[in-house]
Amino acid sequence: MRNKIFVTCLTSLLLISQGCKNWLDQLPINTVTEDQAWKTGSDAEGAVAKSFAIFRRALAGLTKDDTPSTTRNGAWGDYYFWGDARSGDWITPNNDGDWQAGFNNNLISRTQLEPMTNWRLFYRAIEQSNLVLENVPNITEGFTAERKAQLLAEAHFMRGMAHFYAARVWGDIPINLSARNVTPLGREPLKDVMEMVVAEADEAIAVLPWMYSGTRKKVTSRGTKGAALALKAHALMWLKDYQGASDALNQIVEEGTFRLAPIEGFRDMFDTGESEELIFQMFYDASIGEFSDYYGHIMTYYLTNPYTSRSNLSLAVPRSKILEIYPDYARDQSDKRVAEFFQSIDFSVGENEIRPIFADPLANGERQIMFAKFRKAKDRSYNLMDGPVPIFRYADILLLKAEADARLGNVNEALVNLNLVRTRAGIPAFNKSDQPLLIEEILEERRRELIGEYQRVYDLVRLGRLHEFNPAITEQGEKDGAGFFPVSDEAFANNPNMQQTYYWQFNQ
Amino acid sequence: METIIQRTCFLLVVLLLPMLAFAQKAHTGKVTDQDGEILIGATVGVKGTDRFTVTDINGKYTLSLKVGETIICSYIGYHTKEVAYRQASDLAIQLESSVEELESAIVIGYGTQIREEVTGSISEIKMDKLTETQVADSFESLLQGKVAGMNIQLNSGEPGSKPTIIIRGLAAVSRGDASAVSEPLYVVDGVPIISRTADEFSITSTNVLADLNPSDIEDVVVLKDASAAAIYGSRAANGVILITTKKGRRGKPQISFNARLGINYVPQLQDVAGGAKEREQVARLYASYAPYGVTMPAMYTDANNPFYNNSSDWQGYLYNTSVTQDYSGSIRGAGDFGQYSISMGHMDNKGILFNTGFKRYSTMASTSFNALKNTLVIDNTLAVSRTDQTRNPDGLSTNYSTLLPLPNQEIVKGAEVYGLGKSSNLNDRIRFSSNATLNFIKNLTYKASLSLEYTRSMQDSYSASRRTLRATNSSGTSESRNLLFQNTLNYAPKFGDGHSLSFLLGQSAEKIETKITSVSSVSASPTLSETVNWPTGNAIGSSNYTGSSILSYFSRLDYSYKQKYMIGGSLRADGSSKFGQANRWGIFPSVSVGWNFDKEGIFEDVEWLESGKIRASYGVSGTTWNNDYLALGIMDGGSLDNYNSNLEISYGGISGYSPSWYDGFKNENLTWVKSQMSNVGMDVSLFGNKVEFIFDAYEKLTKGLLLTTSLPTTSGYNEVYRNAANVLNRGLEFTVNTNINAGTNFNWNTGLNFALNRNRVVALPDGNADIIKTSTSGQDFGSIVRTGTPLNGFFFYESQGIYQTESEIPVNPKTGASLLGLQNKILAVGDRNFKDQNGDYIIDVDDRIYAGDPNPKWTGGWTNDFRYKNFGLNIISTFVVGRKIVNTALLDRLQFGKDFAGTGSMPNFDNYSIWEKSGDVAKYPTLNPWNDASQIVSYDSEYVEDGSYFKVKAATLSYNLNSKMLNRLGIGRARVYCTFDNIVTFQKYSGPDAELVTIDGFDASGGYPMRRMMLFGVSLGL
Repeated sequence: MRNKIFVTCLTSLLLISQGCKNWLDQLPINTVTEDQAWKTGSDAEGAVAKSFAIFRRALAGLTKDDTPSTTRNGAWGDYYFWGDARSGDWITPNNDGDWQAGFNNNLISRTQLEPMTNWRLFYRAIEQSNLVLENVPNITEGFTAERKAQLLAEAHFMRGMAHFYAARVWGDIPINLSARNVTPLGREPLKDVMEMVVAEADEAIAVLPWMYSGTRKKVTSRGTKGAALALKAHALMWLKDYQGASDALNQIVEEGTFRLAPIEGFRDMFDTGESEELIFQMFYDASIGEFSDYYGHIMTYYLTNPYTSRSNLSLAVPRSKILEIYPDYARDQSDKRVAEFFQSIDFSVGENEIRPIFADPLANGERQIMFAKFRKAKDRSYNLMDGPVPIFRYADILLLKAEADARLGNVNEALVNLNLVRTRAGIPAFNKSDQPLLIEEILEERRRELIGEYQRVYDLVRLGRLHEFNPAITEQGEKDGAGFFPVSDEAFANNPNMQQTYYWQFNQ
Repeated sequence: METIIQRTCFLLVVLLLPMLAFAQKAHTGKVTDQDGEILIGATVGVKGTDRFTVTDINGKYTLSLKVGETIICSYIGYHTKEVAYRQASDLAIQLESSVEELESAIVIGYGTQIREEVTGSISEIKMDKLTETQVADSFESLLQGKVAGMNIQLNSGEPGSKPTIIIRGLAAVSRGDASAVSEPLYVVDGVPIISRTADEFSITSTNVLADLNPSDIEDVVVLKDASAAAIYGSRAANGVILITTKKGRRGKPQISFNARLGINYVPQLQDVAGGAKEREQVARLYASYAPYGVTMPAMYTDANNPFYNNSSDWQGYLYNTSVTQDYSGSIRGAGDFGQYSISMGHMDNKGILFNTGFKRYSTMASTSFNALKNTLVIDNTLAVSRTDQTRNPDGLSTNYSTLLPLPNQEIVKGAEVYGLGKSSNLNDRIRFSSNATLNFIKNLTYKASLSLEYTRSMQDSYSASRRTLRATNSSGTSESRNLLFQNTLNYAPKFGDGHSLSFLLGQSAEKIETKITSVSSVSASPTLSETVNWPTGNAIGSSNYTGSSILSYFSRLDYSYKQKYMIGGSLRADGSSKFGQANRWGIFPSVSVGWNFDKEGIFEDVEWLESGKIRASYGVSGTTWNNDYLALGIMDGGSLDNYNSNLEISYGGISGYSPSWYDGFKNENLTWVKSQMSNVGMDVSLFGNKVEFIFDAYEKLTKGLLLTTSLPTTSGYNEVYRNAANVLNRGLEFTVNTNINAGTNFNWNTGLNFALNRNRVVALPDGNADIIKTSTSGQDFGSIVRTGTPLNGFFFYESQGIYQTESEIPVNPKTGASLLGLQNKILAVGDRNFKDQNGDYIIDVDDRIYAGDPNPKWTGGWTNDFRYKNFGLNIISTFVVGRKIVNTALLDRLQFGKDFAGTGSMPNFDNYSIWEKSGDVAKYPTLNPWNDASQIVSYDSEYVEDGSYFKVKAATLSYNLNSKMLNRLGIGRARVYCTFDNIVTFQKYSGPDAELVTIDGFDASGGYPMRRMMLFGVSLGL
């Protein structure tokens, strides 16, 4: 008996010591740890997709989930704020204080705007790309070498893209090219940032294909050669390397993957994102659950009944401004874009009924015309917003190339591309070959074509001309950095190397 | 059961009898214990022969004997006795219990130790006396004031709430609220149990330990110093509490029953100005401060208004006398077969506040079987319990204006005046443990034990907003599983001349898993449902899981020479799944020495010295943290946002992982929090144990407490955890016990203990930067953690009185601008004069100072036990000296906003010195409700008060019934008693009870007062 017990004890001890080998490896079942996260090709696919997802959220805006110091519950569609609000073209018909403060460049004193000065999500997208570039090279299973190279190229693209976008918003920004980089980084000159963006884009251009298989929307929401070239060209424009920009853009034009959609194709482009004209956009699709909430898509603010349940306009372009921007429409209503971008609603109909749309887009007078470029009718409970957020599209590329060519003195080439866009809009071709006049017209065309597409302010800031259009900004102010957003308080925490933009050291 | 035992014994006797048939001359005798109880199955033999027998069911034996032979009688649990047979009377053998010998051993980690040989700082509390006559939700509150250096504070009077236990000083740091408490480890019958649940996994707020029926506990041993506790390694830094449950004793079965009924009385409540007094006070504030054109609400001015004449006593309405019932019963017994113990208990403690209460149902069965001639002992314990706490979901306000009618008044009958709702909180626990002890050879014991523990908490709550009539439901379940496997080998030989050795080698593996599932909903619901059954889209559900495991190897070696010189050491290695491969194992050593100086020759003739010991020890123990995966680098797959969108989860339908940005990345450097403790002590017992004196001095340095450091935004991460904070606790502990017998009828025992603890922060992260405690949502807690000062000190504005004249308000000579008050307040006469510490003419956070220490300096307790004939009187008091607290509950009620009239109740202004006109020497500034900033600032050094108190906690008068009369009724023992609980508190504090404050010294407003109780009970033993 005693022996039996002894044997039993011994065997159980043996069994236990076997079990003990793994006893201390407790891993979560609701998520994975860092060691588990980088094993196969699908991990790499997911990680790269995640960097795009974070960038998408960065454009929509920081929320309480992202940082404890933020009071904002939902994203506000910050891309609009950064890229359009201060262009001087917009008003707030219901006198919303937040919008008005934004128009007036009161970016610090209005505390509700504080989260917009926080770049944390851009650096999350950058860190996610850094992690991909650190870990994916070590993954060998579950994908082809070609796909691996593509994913790494996409990470370069996204790292460049996030730096580029942040630099357009804040000017000089820290450059972070290594994972888990907790050193307090100071801001680098804008020029260095753009050069780094060009280098990242070049890495991507060398590897990325023009197209993947899949719908246009899906393909163009990821890093492609076209998107990387567009990024490179935009960065080079900031560096005033017009030849480089023109060459990069030329590759997109030569390739022929993208083309201008007919004016009838605008609804596909701005409602569903399925268009040959789009080169890079943010992916939204309510049918697979990827929609932005009540706030996240900016169209919530400028659409009303019959598209959303909102009864009054919060954001609009005034009638006089529309007529100023679209002189051809003012003259003979020839610019077809006005009817595509603006609508007037019969506000006399009660808000519980579907309000009819007037035939005349500008029927509603000075302050009540709805900006309806993005007007995908969604469920009227306000959420499930999944309109496209275009970053680069072919018209933007043609006009950017026209600007580069014009500045290089290639007037004829510039005119060709400018007139491609004008012809589509149904307005007469521009024929003046005087360089300054041509450059001015190209900028105006960009304003007409890209209104509400988060480009206008960056064009003006790039050229140092925001003060000409926004009365709240002076010429000296713009030289001191008024065109850029101030840096949030949070960026100064634990970072002695952080500096506030000169203008914002003295202005609120 | 008893019959089975009897039959077994009888059978044995019958089987053995034939073997003895050859005996020549048989004599019959009887074996009893010292009380005359017969002993069945005792072995009786003749020395030097192989003749032996066992006693039968009547305790009788028959043995052939010759005069002059020596009878040897032995029985487990009794001293073996030798009797020389000369005459018939010698055949009646009386054995003496060896239980005293057992009692002189004390339970320590993974074993027992002879009291005399103990070298660590260990306190033992026999619970029987406490649990028999007192009733408590949990055993912890019964330990209050019993152990020097163990500070137990009942922070709330709510039934089922958790007391705070801090052994030898607070050693926990957090950036947020002060809920970081250094919790001890709880071990029940050798098995560490689940004593708390991490915040994110806890569903109910009920004290997890309240499901242990205090009546089941035999004794509690507190391991205070490192030499005693370090054997528990990584969880022992804050002390270890060893709980031993009651077991059966030999003799006839012990059947006991204890029934008591307590009446809970409402104690002193908040001071309220009722009816006319409230009208007068409101009128006074309006007359003094109301801006032009602002008039009082009609109910204060119009005598015809139905509310005008009300004087509602809201507290009186919602607080009511309630009843507590507690029943427990048990059957226990033991014999050669082993022991059994079965107990049941039920407690129903109704709260004094409307809709609150606590119930406990518990049952426990413990059995031991001896096999293989007692070389194998198998113990099984099964304990099942449930606690049921009822609460008001959103906290019930008892502070309505006295002009508002009570819900029972005709005028509002049927209308719901206060928030509807109910919250039920169930905690269930099942503990099962089984262990086998094998005595291979002499002095060598092997023990294997397996224990399983399962806890489940469930909360179902329903609450409705009075204003919107919208209802919220939430249901949640949290489950924890704990699996523990322990193996120990004990070798305790005695050799040579007085050398004794005890060697322990052990291994344990433990795994703890917790899972939570909860759903909640918000809906415009007209029904009162406590479950969530709203349509899809309205309910938000979530679940979560966490698990951790520990693998440990430990050893202890104790050596004693003639019980005079002792030396001991222990070593434990703990590996935890919470750490990365590189940093997984922590080593926790300890050494201790002891000298029983009374055994030295020079003390031989000192009559009054009974015993004396000097002890010293040093050791390292540890703690970890709640977040099981912190060091591993948790990746985040994203979650649905508020609008059920996948935006944070996938992009183009592809989902992936990113780091969890909030807690930073994989952090292999994270390691054990280690606590180094040295202790010197002395135990002296004088005058035949009439006076006992225990002294301890300790120093405990807790190193590497986990704190976050925020990271630059450019990293993408919010913060990272580091082992960054060090806290030092130093203290002295004194215990004096006396035992005075005056004649045979009168006996007086006292136990006085007091302990001094000084607490100091030694190091903090980010270059010792101050931590101003703030919640994640930015709420300022008014506490600071600063190096060189005690933990969680008040961080307040320094009061310099009240501005009596305009000229006292400082003016900046450079700008001509007056000092700007808090919240940019324009200062005026009657406002608080805060010192502008940095001279920038603005009062803001930079002007705060360290304004007081909320940690108690002295804590202790004093117990007196008188016994006269059959009467007993027991008085327990506790005290705290030298702590600072703030009456935030009162300050909150003095903060009036411009819509103050007709909402909340008001304190009676006559009881407080409130500034009204120039020249008033007042504690509180002007209470102008129309001021642009709050007049009463809670973080004001003026309001820091002395939180010392002396509390007579309980007094019991008991009477033992006459045993002759009881015998006739078939009752062995009976006692009736009456206990008064929470009798009186002596304090300087302005609030109702200086004990009911948070550990960081704030009287939490809306706190639940501690009831006074009068308890009547009968305790029977059959």
